[in-house]
Amino acid sequence: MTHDDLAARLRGSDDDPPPAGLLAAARAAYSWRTLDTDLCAPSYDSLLDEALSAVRGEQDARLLTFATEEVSVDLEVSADGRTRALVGQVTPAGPAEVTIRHGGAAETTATTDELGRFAVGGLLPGAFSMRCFVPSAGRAVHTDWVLI
Amino acid sequence: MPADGELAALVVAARRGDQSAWDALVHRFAPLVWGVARGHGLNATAAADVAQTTWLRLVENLASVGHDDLGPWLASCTRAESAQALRWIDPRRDRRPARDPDAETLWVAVEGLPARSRLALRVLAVSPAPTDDEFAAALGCTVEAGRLFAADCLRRLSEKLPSATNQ
Repeated sequence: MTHDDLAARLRGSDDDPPPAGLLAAARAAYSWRTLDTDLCAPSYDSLLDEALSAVRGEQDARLLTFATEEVSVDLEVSADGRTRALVGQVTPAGPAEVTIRHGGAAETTATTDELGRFAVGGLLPGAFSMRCFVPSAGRAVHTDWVLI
Repeated sequence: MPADGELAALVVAARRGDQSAWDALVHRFAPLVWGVARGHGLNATAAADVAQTTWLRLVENLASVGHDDLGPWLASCTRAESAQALRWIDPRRDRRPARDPDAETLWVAVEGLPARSRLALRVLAVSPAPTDDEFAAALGCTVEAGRLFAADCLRRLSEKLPSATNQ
């Protein structure tokens, strides 16, 4: 059998198609487009930090930082069984409205204190993204999707 | 399947707010995204989470991904998310037996190969067949290295198959 034949046979034998639920969710993802805010790319992820990997225990919280030029968001993500919790710090500091999209379809809101801090728990595992309006910077930002 | 020009038109339309264009892109590339995630040994739940994260990322980055980069971009994003998921999520392998005995023989043989070969063969099994760029992005190597590795994996797979079916 040539390699092309074998590759074709692999394709013909694949009975693991993407599930219908995933296709539907992927189509629905389009409605999450955010056109009016700045996208914060992750500038730090402890999961990728080699210096930490040697000492990090399995249950340690995951640290994420998202930043644009005006706004940065520091997050500590921890898992408690099937739920996730976030402790966050938004800079510049001050009261801000935070909306967290998680678990595919859920939204949870929180307000930061005067130091820009907030905490939410009971989040669903899966892809999450955070959006917040920071009055002192006059900007609304949202973080890129991360799987937690 | 969308030809190159049609793919470009779909991307432009999706950038402009056309849900049906987005749906067509999902339909076209879902097997690739799913195949890369499953090729990393993720169970169905973890693979779905990884795949959905990739799609959400594409929604956010539509403006900056060119139509001829789309397949490799999706493969690369899925690969990165899968690698991270393997560190964060406990993967339990859950391959169901294939309905067809010949297919079962084939996939059992794949299971006996090293992890990177299993990934390569699962990606090669995607329909429509991955381009060289998509395959390389899924494996995280150069196109040339990808071609050599794919040929090597197929050779090793054929050596594992019973000679009666190896025609």
